[in-house]
Amino acid sequence: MRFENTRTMLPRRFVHRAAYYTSSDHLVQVAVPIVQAALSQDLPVAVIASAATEQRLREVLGGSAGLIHLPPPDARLRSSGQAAISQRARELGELTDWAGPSVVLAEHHPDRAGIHPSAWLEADAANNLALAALPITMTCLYPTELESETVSASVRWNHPELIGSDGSIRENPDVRSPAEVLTMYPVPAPAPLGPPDRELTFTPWQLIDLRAAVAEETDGLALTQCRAQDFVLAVNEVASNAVEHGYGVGLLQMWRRPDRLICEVHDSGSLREPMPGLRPPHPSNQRGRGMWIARQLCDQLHVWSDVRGTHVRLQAART
Amino acid sequence: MSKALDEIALGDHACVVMDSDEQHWEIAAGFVADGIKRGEKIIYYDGARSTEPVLRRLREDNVDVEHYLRTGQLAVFSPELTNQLWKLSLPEMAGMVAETIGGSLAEGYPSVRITDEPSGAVHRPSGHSLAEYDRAVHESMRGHPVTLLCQYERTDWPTSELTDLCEMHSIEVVTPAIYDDGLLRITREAPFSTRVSGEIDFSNRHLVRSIIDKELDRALRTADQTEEIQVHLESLRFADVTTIVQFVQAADGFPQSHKLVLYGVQPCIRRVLDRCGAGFTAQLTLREAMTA
Repeated sequence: MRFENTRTMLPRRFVHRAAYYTSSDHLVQVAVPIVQAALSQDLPVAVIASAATEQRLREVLGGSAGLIHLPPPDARLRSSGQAAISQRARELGELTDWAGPSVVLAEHHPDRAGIHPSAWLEADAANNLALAALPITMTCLYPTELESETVSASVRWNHPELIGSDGSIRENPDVRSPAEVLTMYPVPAPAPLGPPDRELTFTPWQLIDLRAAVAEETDGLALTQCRAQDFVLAVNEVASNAVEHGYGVGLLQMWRRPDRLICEVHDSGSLREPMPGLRPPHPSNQRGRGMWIARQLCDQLHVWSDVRGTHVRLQAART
Repeated sequence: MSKALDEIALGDHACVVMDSDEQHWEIAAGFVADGIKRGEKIIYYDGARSTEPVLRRLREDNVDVEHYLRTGQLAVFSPELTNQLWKLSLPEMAGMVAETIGGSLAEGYPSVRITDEPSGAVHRPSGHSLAEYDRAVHESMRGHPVTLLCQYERTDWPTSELTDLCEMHSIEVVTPAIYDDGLLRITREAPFSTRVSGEIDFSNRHLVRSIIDKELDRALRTADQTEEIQVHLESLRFADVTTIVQFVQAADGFPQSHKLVLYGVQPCIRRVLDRCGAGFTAQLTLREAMTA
């Protein structure tokens, strides 16, 4: 008799593989068998690739049946692997909701309008968190021409399975958890924005002032009421974490841009887990939903930490 | 004599001392709504810039504010106009009130309901005490079908003056709350029905949770009397995610025989409820706000 508990009953559904390619022809050679195997099992295949790569795949496969085009992440998310993957996880969640188990091919190339190479390692670690509960088999295709410490580290530490040059799949003994990977390679701070247009320090009892300040700034951006309220909630959730884990005091900074509002929340606490809020919370968990929902409610949420504490950048863009 | 808001009768000249904004808006909106139901002309002297939140509270209570403003049944005097009152002499004040009452009755209303927030009178320039003004107004309404409620914010007045003002009024309106911290107010509407107004965040959610748990527990212990525990959220303008999860989990913990019914959930809170699995909780029901 097999005794199940809540842990063993949960299947490990996300499969994350990596393969190298030496040229665009080689990329197609590597990708085609993966696509054909999936299509033969009636599994949909989502392709995140350059237009040229996608077109060649469709040509070689003799049609487009079963291939789903996924657009590159928003240009503003390119430098934040976690923000790009958070957006991608929503799309893939919708895909698997209606299509069931799916296969994803992701081409990495610096000239493609995808995630910036400096954020590939962060993005692949984020994949392991954000997609953990989705029935997806994802193959990341990395170019050998770009071989660098960042690329080899991302392949080595983030992918539990590796595809060899002959197409064989082997387990990767070096794979590490996202927490371990991001301890070795901490999430970088985003590009600095200069002096903020407005800032305020807050304690738990001043969260109402923080909400009022953010709401006032969203007024200037002419967001819909719904999006403005959601953004205020997102900032409030991050700020609540800041006062809970950061010794009771936090700092909010805001930058107004013609098409967006950027907020940063800083506290002096340390992160208990890197990139919180990427993994969907278990329904029975009382805590841990705030950051997850905050990521769903704003256009970008990037968390990083350093010796001064924990920092979160959130962004609401006019649509 | 103490009275609840809904016990105020035609001809009463009552006062109320308020400790929080939410209490202020609850009382002012309740007084206005009660007058509207009775078909009375409502004169609101806004001395504390409270028009916007009071009208919002009326809308949350499903009162068609725009209709009553348009028809003139509800007349609101701005803080600038209200504060001019304290520059009048006592006869001028009495005359102005008498004229307002007479004009309202001439419009065909059977009675008039007046409320004022004399916070601008704290620094009144005319040299008269507020008590003198109050007596002048009282004399003006004598013999007419008028109900008057004087609203005093506790923080506006020295304790001794406030005590004197309350003693001048034969009726003091009391509005008990289960909880009021200035940010959030919880009141009991009926034995198994509470109303949560204001905002819940990290600063007060632990207290709120324990109070709501006690209310639910009390209701469940008298299980034979009701199958629904109602929480009115029409005036809950913000709740953080942890609080919303707590509502869902509280309902999850209900026996199958009972339901937690949330009334008038605002869209911003409803969206988070949806993300927190409210739709999958059999013991949780969302309903539209009750009509006023």
